[in-house]
Amino acid sequence: MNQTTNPYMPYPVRIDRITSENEARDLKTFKVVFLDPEHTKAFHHIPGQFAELSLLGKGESPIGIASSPTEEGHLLFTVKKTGVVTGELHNLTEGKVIGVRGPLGKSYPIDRMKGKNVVIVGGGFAFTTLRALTKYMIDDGNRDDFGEITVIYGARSPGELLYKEELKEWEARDDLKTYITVDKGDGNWKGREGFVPTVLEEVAPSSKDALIAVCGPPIMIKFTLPVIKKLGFAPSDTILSLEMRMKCGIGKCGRCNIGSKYVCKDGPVFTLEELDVLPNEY
Amino acid sequence: MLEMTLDKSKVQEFLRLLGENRRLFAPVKDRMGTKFSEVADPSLVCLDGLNTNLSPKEVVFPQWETLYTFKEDHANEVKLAAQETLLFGARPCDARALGLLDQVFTWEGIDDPYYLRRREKTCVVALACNTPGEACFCTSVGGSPVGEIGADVLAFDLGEQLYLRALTERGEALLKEASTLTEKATEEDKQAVQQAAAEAEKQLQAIPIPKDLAALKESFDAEIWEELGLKCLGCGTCAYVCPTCHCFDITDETKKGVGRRVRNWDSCAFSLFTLHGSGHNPRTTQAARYRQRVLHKFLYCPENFGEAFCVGCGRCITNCPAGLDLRAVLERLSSLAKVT
Amino acid sequence: MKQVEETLRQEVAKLLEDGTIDVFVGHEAASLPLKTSPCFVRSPKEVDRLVWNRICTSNLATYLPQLFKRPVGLKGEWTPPKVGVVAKGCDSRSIVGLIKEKQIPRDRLFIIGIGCEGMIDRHSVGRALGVVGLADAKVDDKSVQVIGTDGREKRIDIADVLAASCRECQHREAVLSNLTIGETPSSAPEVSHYANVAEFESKSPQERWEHWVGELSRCIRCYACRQACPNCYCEECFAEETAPKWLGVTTDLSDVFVFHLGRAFHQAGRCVDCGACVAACPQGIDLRLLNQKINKDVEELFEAQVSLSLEEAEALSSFRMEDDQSFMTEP
Repeated sequence: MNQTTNPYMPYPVRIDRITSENEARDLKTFKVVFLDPEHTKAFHHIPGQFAELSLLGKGESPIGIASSPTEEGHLLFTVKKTGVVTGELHNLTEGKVIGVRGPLGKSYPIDRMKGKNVVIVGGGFAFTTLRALTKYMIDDGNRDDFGEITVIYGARSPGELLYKEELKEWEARDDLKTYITVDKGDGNWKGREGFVPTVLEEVAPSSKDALIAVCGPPIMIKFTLPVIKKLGFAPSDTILSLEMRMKCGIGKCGRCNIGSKYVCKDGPVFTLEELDVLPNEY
Repeated sequence: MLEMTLDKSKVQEFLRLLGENRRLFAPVKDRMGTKFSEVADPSLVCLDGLNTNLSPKEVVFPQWETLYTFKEDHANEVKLAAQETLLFGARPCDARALGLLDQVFTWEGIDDPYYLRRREKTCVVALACNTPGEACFCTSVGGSPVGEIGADVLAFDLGEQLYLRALTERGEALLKEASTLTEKATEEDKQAVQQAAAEAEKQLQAIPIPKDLAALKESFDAEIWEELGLKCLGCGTCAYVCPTCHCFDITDETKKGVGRRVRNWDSCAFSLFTLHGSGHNPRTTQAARYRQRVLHKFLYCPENFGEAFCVGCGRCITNCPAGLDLRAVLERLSSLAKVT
Repeated sequence: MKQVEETLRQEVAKLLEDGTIDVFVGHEAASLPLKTSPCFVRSPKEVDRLVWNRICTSNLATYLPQLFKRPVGLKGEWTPPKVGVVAKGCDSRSIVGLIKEKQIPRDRLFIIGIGCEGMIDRHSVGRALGVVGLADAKVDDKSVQVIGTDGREKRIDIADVLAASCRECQHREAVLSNLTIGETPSSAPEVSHYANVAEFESKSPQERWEHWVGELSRCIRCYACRQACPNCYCEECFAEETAPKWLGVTTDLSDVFVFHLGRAFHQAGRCVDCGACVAACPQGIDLRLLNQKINKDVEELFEAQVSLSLEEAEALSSFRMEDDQSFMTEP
């Protein structure tokens, strides 16, 4: 039996590669591959969705899927070391087998984004599913489906930026406008300095025929939303991804609700319009 | 549908017969009144109490269960077979609660196999109430002391005999199985039942339930939560005795590389319930946690399932160690709703 | 008793009026018979909510620490409130304990002590009724007149339904107060102290084991005992810690035993035998026996009782040369 009949059973996956992402060494990206090719076929995710990473004996942790479905044959998860499960995950070495339960939750509204300009605004380690979204849109097979793509991504310091090599590639591309910023640079940093909301205001992407997807720490969201509003993005075109403590991931265990919405199954992706009518409890 | 009567002197025999190839759960005497218990000896069954101190939800949704076992990095599924079960003597509120739990555990097409394996094998014989208990308010939340929802058979205590009405095919099959012990209900019996039903419903107090969901939404920032939060001790009693509360946790337990993944009841009243790994907690105060419990039942569930997740059994009221009374809270919320 | 209640209301009104206190923590009637609820009175107009009767069972000390916590998210200056509270002997001892453990500040507390003749245990009344519920009850000095949900009436001697802790209570007046009201309670009964423990100790290990298997297999892990206990104020209880994880989450006996034994040990030299855990337990488990055993040991080993004054050091937080050291072993 597997997830098709029992949604609590994880798929076994092997850790294929572990990449340390930051100087603090508390962020690692895990590339995992399914042990059973049937499971590879069964796992259909869309950018924005998450999965429960399952460590037998330790527990599960909901983590956004950082890879795009266009990157076939594996999944990427960028995990910050915070608790029991993520702590143990950070101790693991390549070749170890863990579990993946998913894909779970609602994705970014890809269909609505098609034919539109898309602005991506990310901060810190919350950039993971936005990476999946960007990667998906700039894939050769999909690029023509979308209009102009603008990526604004910031972190506290250069060392804290995720996917550094990839960001360089993106900056070099001409079908994608990439703006990387750090709160404060170091001696080697030649790029932009400044907070994400400020950079967004400077770049001032047009809200005409456009959707904007935002993911970052609460403080960044707080200062970014007014800028988004000023730029003229409608609440229904402003997309956010939330984090919440979860267990089952399938809308049963009652832990992750905000009002009548469950972050695990109605989210984690919400439009600002949807969030505006929910109680301020997240 | 079948309507039968069973002489009360034959109840034990009836249960013995039906219990032969089923697990039998029924109320037995307990130091806290009565409790549901798996009974091997039907002579222990006690139908004189009203609501058992704990609800019978544990028959289909046990306090804890193993989701699967594992050895090192290999997970082994536990067998999902369940035995045929007879839940006898659940009150109509408890039967109705099972109907509500069914909705959660099959919500939006995602079936919970652990719940369903037991639920699908459970035949519910509900026992209608002649008199209400100390904190009963089923009629105010859309139920009835003689309600049929969630049950396969509804029984009435007519003094000398039990009247049994099959409500589902499973219930009908059950009654047929014991047909040697029962008799066809007469017109007189049926009239007696009607009268008893009318009498029972009359006796229940009506309390105001806030039904205006938009107004209830406004209550989120109302002052009343503050004091309720100060009173609420933050224990899990109300959730654990509640027949509709279904929140659970999932944790792992290991000994020397062998272990099990367990799910167990949890409560939104606990301060750690929503604590994130990062240290952030969206519900930092007991006021917010108490509000979550009330609004989940009376606002969020109506929005999601079309009805409140409260069957008016009153267990949270009789058992609250801080003397909190949900009825009083609902009354205050209703009056708030009128003002706004 | 009515008169004491009236005096209490008047005194509280005065304290609120003249600004001595900002909020008063007392008992108010709950909707069910023989039940009260803690209440928080902030204005003289509200003092009529306060009741004083034989069912003021809750230990109000439990409700105090939260009032002295800085509100979450509040920015800028914050002065903790001045809090008044009504205290029976047991409440006052818990308050002493909490002051000593630095959970509440003595200088922001105004304690009104009331002598106590013992409180009614609702579970015992329930047991007297059997399987039916309690529809109504009237209490006088000597008895409780109850009506069951089956309509039957019954008169019960109050002595038969007093909480177990109250029957053996040796401290019927507040040990710390700013004001005492009401009459001096009758002297403590001549009961054999720790009779229940002595009886239990006389049993064989097998019998003792069976007793606790019977009691603790009733536990539903709701933590009402812990939450009602003034001593259980830990932000994160050992029972819920995940790193390390001390016990499992199930109702397997091994998990339940670890929880209750762990909690009992954390009460060593701190439990005032108020009975709040027993009153709170929805399953009617006799947790008191466990705590009383430890109380007895502390009393016998250190000749000390718990939290009788602010000045005296507590047995397990002080050291005397003559303290029993028989438990120590040579390395």
